[in-house]
Formats: sequence, structure tokens, C-alpha cells
Amino acid sequence: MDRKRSGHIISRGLEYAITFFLILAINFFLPRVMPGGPLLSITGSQGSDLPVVIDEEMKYKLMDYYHLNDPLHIQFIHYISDAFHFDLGHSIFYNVPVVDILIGRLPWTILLMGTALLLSTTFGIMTGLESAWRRGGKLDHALLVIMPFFRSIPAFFLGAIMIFVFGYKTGWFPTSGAITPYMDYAGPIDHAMDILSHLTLPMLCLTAFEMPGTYLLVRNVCVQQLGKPYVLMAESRGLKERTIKKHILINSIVPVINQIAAMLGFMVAGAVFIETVFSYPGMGMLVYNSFIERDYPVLQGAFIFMSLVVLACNYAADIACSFIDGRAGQE
Amino acid sequence: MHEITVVQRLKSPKGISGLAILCSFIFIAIAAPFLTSYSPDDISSRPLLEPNSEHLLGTDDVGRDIFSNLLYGARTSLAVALIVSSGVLIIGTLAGVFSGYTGGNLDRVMMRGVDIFLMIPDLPLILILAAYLRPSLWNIIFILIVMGWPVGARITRAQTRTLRVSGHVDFARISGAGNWYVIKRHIVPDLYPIMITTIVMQSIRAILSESGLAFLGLGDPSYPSWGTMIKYAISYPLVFFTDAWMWWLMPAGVCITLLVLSFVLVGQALEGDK
Amino acid sequence: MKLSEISISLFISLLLVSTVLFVPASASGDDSSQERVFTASWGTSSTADWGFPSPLTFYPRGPGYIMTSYCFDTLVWPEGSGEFTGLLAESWESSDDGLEWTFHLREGVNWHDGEPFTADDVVFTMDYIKGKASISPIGSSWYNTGVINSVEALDDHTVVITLNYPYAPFMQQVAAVIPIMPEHIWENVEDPSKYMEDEAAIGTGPFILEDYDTDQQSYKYTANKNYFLGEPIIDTLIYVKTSDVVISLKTGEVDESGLTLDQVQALDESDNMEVISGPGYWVYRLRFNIPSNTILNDTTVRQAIYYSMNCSDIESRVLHGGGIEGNPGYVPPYSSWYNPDVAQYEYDIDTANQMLDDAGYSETNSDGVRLDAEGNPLEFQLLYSSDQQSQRIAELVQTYLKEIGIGITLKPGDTKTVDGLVGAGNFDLAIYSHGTSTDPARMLNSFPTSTGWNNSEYMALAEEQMSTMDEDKRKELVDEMQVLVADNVPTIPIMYRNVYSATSKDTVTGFFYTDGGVGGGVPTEYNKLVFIYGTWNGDNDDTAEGTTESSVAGIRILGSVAILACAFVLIRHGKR
Repeated sequence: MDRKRSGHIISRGLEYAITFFLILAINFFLPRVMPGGPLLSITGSQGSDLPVVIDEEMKYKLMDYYHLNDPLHIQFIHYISDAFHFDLGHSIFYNVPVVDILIGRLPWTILLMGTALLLSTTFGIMTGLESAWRRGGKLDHALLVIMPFFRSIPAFFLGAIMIFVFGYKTGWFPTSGAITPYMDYAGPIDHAMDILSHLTLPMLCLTAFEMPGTYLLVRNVCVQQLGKPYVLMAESRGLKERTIKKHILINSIVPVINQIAAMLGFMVAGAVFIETVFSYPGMGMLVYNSFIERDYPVLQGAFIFMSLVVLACNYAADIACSFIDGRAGQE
Repeated sequence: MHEITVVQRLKSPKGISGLAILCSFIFIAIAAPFLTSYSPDDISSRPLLEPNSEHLLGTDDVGRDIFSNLLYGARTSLAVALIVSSGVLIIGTLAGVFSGYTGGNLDRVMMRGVDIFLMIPDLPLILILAAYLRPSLWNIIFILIVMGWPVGARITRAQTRTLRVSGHVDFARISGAGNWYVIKRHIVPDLYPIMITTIVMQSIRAILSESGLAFLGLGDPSYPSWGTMIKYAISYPLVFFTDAWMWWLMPAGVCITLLVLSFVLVGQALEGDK
Repeated sequence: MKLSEISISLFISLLLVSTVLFVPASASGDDSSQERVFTASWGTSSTADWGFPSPLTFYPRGPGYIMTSYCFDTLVWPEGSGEFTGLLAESWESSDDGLEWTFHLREGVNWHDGEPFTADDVVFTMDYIKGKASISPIGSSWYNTGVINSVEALDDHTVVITLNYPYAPFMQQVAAVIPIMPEHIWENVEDPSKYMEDEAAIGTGPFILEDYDTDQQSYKYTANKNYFLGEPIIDTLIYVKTSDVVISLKTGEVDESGLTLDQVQALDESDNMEVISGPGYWVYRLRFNIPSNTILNDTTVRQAIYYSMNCSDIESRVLHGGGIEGNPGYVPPYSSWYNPDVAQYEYDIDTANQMLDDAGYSETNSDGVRLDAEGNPLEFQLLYSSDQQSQRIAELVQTYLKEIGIGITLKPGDTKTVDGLVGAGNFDLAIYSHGTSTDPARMLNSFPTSTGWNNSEYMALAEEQMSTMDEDKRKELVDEMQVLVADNVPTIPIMYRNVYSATSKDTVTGFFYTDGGVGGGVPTEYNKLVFIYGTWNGDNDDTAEGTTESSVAGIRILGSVAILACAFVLIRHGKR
């Protein structure tokens, strides 16, 4: 059994590694076939406010500086070997190593996505379980209407409404950024409060974006469990509701964890919209901005980083599940 | 047999309300030219008018009738939903049935490929693709199909696997039926419910993605889109400081929400919720 | 086991732990109530990050230069009127042939680190930037070192710059642009384009860089109390990124920002704002692919297109009055170089149709689109970047051209794609928007590259005006150039955007738009002289208060949500 599990973990790990390599490859080739190219973002637009007088020699030097005049396969080898040294290149727009930018943005995205994930999972499981338990009841009906409704609101529209209501009309929360720049804090609590208040709106928005999915998932899985003999037996033996729920939850946790991990990529999309709407300085806004600026290295780096995090979470979920439930390793 | 259950399921309150909303949007899309006298790109009116009898929802920043843009926006959304979901359905079903029916290593490799697709955070990749192909409605549809078919393939494949080992399929095979015959007569009909679910799910995805890309400025300007309307409404600085948000921002957002909601309700009804 | 309760408490504690992680170990509790803090924002632009403010690392656009100009001084600097005042140079003179410029430097100026500033630094800077231009993209785009032949220090406080040829806009484009860098810091720097240590921002300017944060897209400067023109009127200057600048101005998150006219209208009396406006020197124009498109190569067709467009109507729909319609001579009417006596193209569909008929495009197909001699429809692709204004203009141009039987397919792209396609000559028509710059040297001489129109008569005039030192003579030449532009319609200037700025009256007053722009033509309210000669009206730091209050309110909401959730769980449990 144990050997089987470790074999499963290793083979899954290999599969993830291959996946990651393919993502690296996609990521490398896609931006390079776009018109425009990074050179233009350095030199600015022709005929713009300060036309760059750039001659062939200078162009060559700039291309050389960014490795752009090597043949494609050499670029690719450079790229892969650099990627494994955590060298994702040098940002054209920000003029610093890409990894530095990503590391600067990462905590904010982790804070935003992490809290939203926790909140949506917690409430998703609570409501899903409750809804499944009382299926057909008033609460279930209400939730089955409310949740799909939230799921139907586009994230950017919800964000705009939130900015309007909570940012402007009531003035309860700041509407942009992650902290008040250069504020003098009375103490760490004050500082934490500042971060929290900036976090609240985007976090609620992302939670509302993510929770309906979790809720429906948990409800479906739990409804299936409810029909199983062990539940009927437990009920007939008069076990407490809480105890039965606990068992249902434990038995449903594997698909729930797996599905939540699989939905992470979807959540990244939500984060891109929400961070853009709220100007939250995380990876999502970075992706959007560097896309606008055609900052290849950053765009590539952010995409790799996001994919890596999503894959790692999925792998972690796999491992966790194979420990929770031995059967998962056998399929 | 299955068709009947589908109809029965749709007769639930959710199914009926979902279908009602959906049908009214389809009606709006088809009847748009009769419901408004303005073409969506008619700019003869004064910009930033408040709602009046001429313009039910006023005009936008360049003098377009917001109401007619809203109506024609339904066309764009529904067309994208229809084409993307059929595209995903066809490719996904073919790939899924093929993979699931063949089984073995090929199945394994294909499903790995599908898993890879499913795990890639799709929006960053869509951004890159959309930029590469430049914003046009057909490119967006193409991207959404490319990014969406694995989902369809995966569900279809799972169902095919189940059917493949189920009694009647085995029986047919033992009786000497060819693969094509089995697939056509015994597997595909059993996939109908899943196909409808795929259409519903992909329509939701297509509508939300199209409006999202339009909101990010990657939409096709030749077609009126609700996402573009929201984008312009929000970037008009006075939208929140006057009442303009009520007739410019909200209708477009509410339309997206309602249309998506109608598909969600239909989807839930199909899954057997009441 | 109360699973849900456990998960709630787990969540709340994790939330608190995660926020505490972001708190630096030493949070300062200084009393800062008497500090004069001024917070500004770059307003509507998509990014507020303009790069590290050193002369070789800022992002090569106007705002990037401005951020650098706070730390670094040039030899001379424009006042509001556009006249030059001395910064590092106290006085200057040029030889009669315009080739030799002598600058007498200010004495007693120190770098931020206390080292004295001397003529050697000027010589070093000029040579260094000239030598390093190839590495840094900024070097080539901002500093016109190409005209400089040699730079010599006669003594510690006298510098002579010799030019390769007479260059009329030398003061505006070179002496007032190149920031002087300290030799003792930069002499050993290997790769200046990656040099972003604290020392890299040491200059002689009125502000000292305290922090630059690329993630938050913010800058913080403190006043240089020993600034040679006098102590700045504020202690701290902050630039932040904001998603909705109007809301930020209203809530006091920022004290000042550049705005569009629409945004200005969102402000009212109660906001207590001082609004100024100025010429934007920012043009939206229709660009033709003159070299490759044989139809558009025909001047008559371009003139007909000009006649078919109602530019003032486009302005009123896109900018809603926040700009002025374009001038066929390209130079905006508020410029001192403007020539009103050029050909005009008043909106006139009949004339336009007549011209196209005469040019041989009288046949139309069933869609009403004109046909050329071979029977192909007169259809063009219109390329534009997908920002709101350009998109709106493109849609309007499409509508207008439809009236004269020219079909337009809209081709949007992001700025870089548009630049890429235009650069490759792969387009028919394009909407372009950019600063016009203020001096004819840049405004008009770039026409062969910026429009694709190559006219030998025009280029001869361009060459001549560049090296003409006599202002009146030069104006005549520039006037002639505008006549040629208007006659040939190499591009259609649709409109010029104005710039607006709003400042909270409780902070700094005295903002102005510099005639001719700063840094060689950036139209901005951020001329650093405002922080020397302006007035401070506030008494203490009012930026922090508003947000502290809102954050407290926010926490209350969050707290009540958590309490409600707990109550929900308890009630559910109580029911059993």
C-alpha cells in the first residue's frame, strides 16, 4: 500500500514536471511570434513625443543586450537553463530582474488569493454541507438561487459596483492599492489595519467570485454521500447530526480538495480582473500591465510563476488526497 | 428515453425561469432592429444625453443610443455563446469519445494533454493569444474554442469509459457490431445529456470571457458588446458622480448577469435540481 | 467537534497572522503632524511607475523624466513663460556663429551627499551620456548629444560646449534637458542602466529620493533644505498610483493630479480645488501610408478625406470640449510658431465628393463604396491603439468616410502592435496620438519619419531653420513649412487635447503650465520650480487622516461580518 502510494506520488510528480516543461515551451514561443516585439517598447513609438533616432548599429546592440539576435533555438536553450536558475530575464519596462518584480508582487497576490480562497472554501463548505443536509428546505432553496446569481455576475462588474458603493458612496474602504503609501503608522496594529482595509474590497469580490463554485461542488458531493448506507445507518442508530456531518465531510473531502485545486487556474483569471479593477499590486495587475507594455520577460515570468503555483497546489492536493484516501492512488 | 428526461427536468421552476430569460434574450437579439430605430453605431445624436423618449437609456460619450447598443449586444453575446459551445461540443465530443472508446496508452496520453490544458491559468494565456491574433470576434471565438475543448473532451471521455464497460455496449460488441455502429447507436445517444450540459457550461464561459476580454480592451469594436459598454461607462469619469451609472453602466452589467444566470438555471435544472 | 466554528476561528487567526507578516519590525511612531506633505498622482495613465529616477534608468517617457528632474538639475530650466532661468549655470553666452556656448556655473552648490559640484561634473556628464548612449535606451531618446562636438572645463566654474553645427533649439533641447550627474558616484559604475542603488539618485536637485517602490508604483522625496534656489515649500513630495483619481482627490488621498476635462467636471465647489488648464501639445492625427499605398499617395485623395471630416465635431464627441480642433498646418494655434495663413479644409462633403469624382473614383458598387480604375472598392484598414479616445476617433472617422464612399475596416491593437505594424509599413490608415513637442525642430522636422511624406523643398526648409539662429528669420521658415504641410496634407491633425490639473487649495498653490514644456517639451504642471516659488497653504499633514478613518470603519465592517458569521453558526447549533 505504502509503496503503491509513493509510486503514485512520483509518477504524478513526473507528469507535473512534463506539464511544466510544456508550459515553459508554450510560454517561450507564443510571445515571440507577436508583431511589434520588445524592441519597440524600448525605443518608443515612431513619431511619438520624442522620436527615437535609432540607427542600425544601436538596434543591433539593443537586440544583443536582450539576446534577441541569437537564433531561436539558442534563445530557447538560454531560456530554459535560466528558468531553472530562477533567472527569468530582465524587465524591459521596469529595468530590473523579473524575479525581483515577481517576488515584490507575490506576497500581495498570496494575501489576496489566500484569504479569498480561505474565506470562499470555509463558507463554501459550510453552506454546501448545510444546504445538502437540508436539501429541499428553505435554506437550500435560497442558497441555490443566491449562489448561481453571484456566479453570474462578471467579476469586473462586481468590482465596479463595490468601488461605487463601498468606496465612493459610503467611503468605508479605500478603492485602490494595497497600502496607503508612506503613511506614518502609530504601530503594527495600525499598519495591519491599513493593509486589511485595502484588502477588504478586492478580497470580498474574489470570494464572491469563487464561493459559488465551491458551494455547488460541496453540495453535490455531500448529497451523494447522504444517500450512502453508512449515513442511513448512522441516522437510524440516532447519532448526533454533528457527528454524521463530520463523517460526511471527511468522506467528501478528497474530491473537494482536488476540485478546489483544479479551480485555481480559474481563480487566477478572477484575480487578474479584480486586481486590475482595484489597482491591487499583485500578479494579476502585473500580467495585465506588462501585457499592455509588451514587457515580454515579465509577462513570461508571471505566467510561469502562476502556472508553477497552480501546478504545485494541484500536486500538493494530490499528495494530500492520496494520504487521506488510499483508494485515490489506485485509479 | 433520455430526451424525455431532459424535457421533464427543464419543466422544473428553475428550468422554466432560465429558459424564459434565455428566450427573451434570443427574442431581443432577433428583433433588435424592430425594437429600436437607432443603429448601434449611429452617432447622429448629441453625446451624453439623459434618458428621454427618443433615447430610452440616453446616449453614451460619443452620442450612440445606449438602448440599441444593449439590444445588439445580446446578438454578440448569444452568437459567441452559440458558436463557441458548438465548437467545443464537436471537438470535445469527438476527442472524448475517441479517447474513451480506444482506451489504453493513447487515452492516457490524450487525457494527460487535456489535464495540462485544464491546469494552465487560462486568462494570462488568452491575453497573450488575443494580443497576437488582434481583437476580432472570430479570433476570440477561436481562442475560446481552443482553450475550451479539453473540458468537453474530459467529461465526454469519462462518460464514454463508463458506457464502454456497461452491459448493453458489451452486448452489442459481442453480437458482432462494428465500432462505428456501437459508437453511433449506443454511445452517442447516451451522451446527449452531457452534450447539453457542455453547451450550457461553455455558453456561460463564452459569455463571461467575451465580455471580460472586451472589458480589458481586447474586444471587437465592430460589434456592440456589453463588456465594452461597461468599459466605456466606467472610464467616463462622471459616471458615478451623476446618475449616468443608472442607465449606462447598470443595464449592461445586469444583462450579462441575467443571460449567464439563465444558462446557470438551465444547467441546474438539467442536473436535476428543482 | 464544531468544524465550522473551528474553520472560522482558523480563518480569522490566519487573516491576522498574514497581515502581521506584512508589518515591518520597526513601525515608526514619530510625531509627524507638522510635516508638510504633498501627494500627487499621474492621474489617468495606466501605470504610475516611471522607473528609477536616475538619468539613465527612468522610463523614457515624459513623466519618467519629470520624476528624475526632482533629484537632478540641468544647466538651465524653463520658467512658466518659457524663458530660461539658470539652475547650475548662473549665466551663459554663445558665440555669434552659434557653435560655442559658455556656461558660468553657480558656486557653492553641493550634491545631496555634501560633495561640491564643479565644472568637471558637467564635462563628465556630457561625455558619459554620449559614451553610454548605446547601452541605455534613454540616452538616445532624451539626450541629444549628437550635436555636441566637445565639452571643456576652463576652470572650476566655467564650461564651454562646442557644437558640430549651429543648432537653434540648443538651449531648449540640450542645455535644459541633460541632467548633470556627479562624477564621483558614476565614474566607476559599470552598467548604468541597471544601477539603482540609493547613490544613483544623488543629484543637486530640490528633492532627495527617499523611496521608489515599483510594486506600489510610488515615489517619495524629501526636501533638499540646502537647495541653492531656496528651501522647497514642502517637506515631503509623494507620488502614488490611484485607480480613480477623482475619488482620490475628493477623499483627500491625493492633493493634486492631472485630469481630463470630464474629470474636472466631476469636481465641485465643496471639493475646494484649484483647477488650471494649459495647452496640451498633444495631437490626435490620421496617418496615411503614403509610401506604399498608391491611392493614399495621391494628395487629392488626402485632401478629399480632410474635407469629409468634421474635426470640431469629433473633438466635441471625444473630448467634450477638452481640446481644440486640429490645424491643417499641424502646429497648434497656441504655439508661438503657429501660422494661421495656410490652406483650410472646412467640413464640406460636396467638395470632398467632387474631388474624389474628379480623381477618377466616380463609380460606386452596390454598397455605395467607390471603385478605382480596376474596379476594386475603395476600402482601407484603419489601425488604432485601443485606448478610449483613439477608439472613439476611429469609429467617428469610419462614419465620416462612409459618407464619401470610402469603406473603413477597424483594426484595433495595443500601442505596441500599432507601432509595430506602422513601423513595418503594414497599414493603410492609422490614428496616432502623441505629444507634438514644442520646438519646430522636433515638431516638424520629423515629418518624413512620422508621416512618410518626403518633400525635398520641405526638408531643405527644415535643415535651414534648425541652424538659423535669428528668431524672426526662423519663424519665417517655419511658417513656410506649415504652408507646405497644409497644402500637401501628409497627415490630418484631428484635434489637440488640453491638459488640466486640480490641486487641493489647502496644500500648494501656484501650479502653472510651462510655455514650451519642460525637459524639451513635456507639457506638464510638474515644473519643479513650483515647489520653490509656490505657496504652502496647509498647516499639517492631512493625507493620513482620511484613510485612517476609513480603515477604522473598514475594520468595523469586517469585524461585524465575522461576528455575524459566528452568530449564524451558533444559532444553527443552538437549534439542535
